[in-house]
Amino acid sequence: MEKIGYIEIIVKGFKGKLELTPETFDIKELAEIIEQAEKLLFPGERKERPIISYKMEEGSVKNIFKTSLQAVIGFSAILSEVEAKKNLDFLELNTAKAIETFQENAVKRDYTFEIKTSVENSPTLKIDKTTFYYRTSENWVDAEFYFYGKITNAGGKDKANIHLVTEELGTLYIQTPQEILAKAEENILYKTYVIRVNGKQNSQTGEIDKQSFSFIEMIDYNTKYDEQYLKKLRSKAMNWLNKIDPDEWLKDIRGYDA
Amino acid sequence: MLEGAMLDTSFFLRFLNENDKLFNNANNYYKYFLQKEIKLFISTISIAEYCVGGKIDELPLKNLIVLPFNINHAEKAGSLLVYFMKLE
Repeated sequence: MEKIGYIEIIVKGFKGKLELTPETFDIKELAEIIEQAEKLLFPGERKERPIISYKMEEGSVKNIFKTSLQAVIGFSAILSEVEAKKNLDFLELNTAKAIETFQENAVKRDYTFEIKTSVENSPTLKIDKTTFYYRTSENWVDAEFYFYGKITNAGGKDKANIHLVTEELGTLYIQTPQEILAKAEENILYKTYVIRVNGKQNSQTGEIDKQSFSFIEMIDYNTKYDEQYLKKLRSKAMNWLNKIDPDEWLKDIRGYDA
Repeated sequence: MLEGAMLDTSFFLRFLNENDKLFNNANNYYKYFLQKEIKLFISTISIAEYCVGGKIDELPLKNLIVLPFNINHAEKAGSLLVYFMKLE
């Protein structure tokens, strides 16, 4: 049995007065389609994904992505659900974002996108300026996070960012003002920090939008038991701690007696 | 192997006061966690409680990872309270 399947993304529309064809389709648009197709097929870790090959055909512009049949079957099921529910909230973030990107381009450029697969009786998802394939934004709320990890890269000519390797979420890319990086007094590379960031989190699923992070502050985290540091803190804290009974004080502020 | 330890307000009330009867216990736990590279966490709720009496610069934030209280925590906290109220 053939173990390769394909998805087809057909783009229809005009560029000025010229109908879209492979000759009038700009490479920037093509690059975007390729990027979104990869996210649609493999929304999670993409380092070890199977090969995706590409072919363009007439009609208006037919983009064909061949890859493992298993991934195509999975995607076909997703297409059916999106078609039926007319909603993206149940999807993994990357898949939802890819479909939103098609929707945004459909509105911006007045294009029609038709997405289908090689699976028998595959549904066709049609996206144009009259459809509304967006996530329900109220599910994505502002949140604050503290990430612990090692910085492996920092900088950038226009949009500077920090690459932080974490155990829980892999490598995170955190938008960081250039001034912060310029002011760093020591080399921050390959050292462990806690970085406090703003970001978006899905209030229903708890999923974190890894592309939403913006820098708040960097905390020089260390695991050294520093006697002098702790002595200084204690000398301040003991001014009030010596005057309370900890159990009673906690009961009082927590309102146990209320 | 422990991945992390969550330190509560009452822990800091003992750990930061050398005269507290539980100071040695708290201090030894703290040392042990750091030696074993067990991550230490503090929640923003504990920070709020501590700051009723003390100041944030009394807390050993260099050794701690803060756990913030976000909307999803608020939602869970609400449903957890309902659950416990039903148990009573």
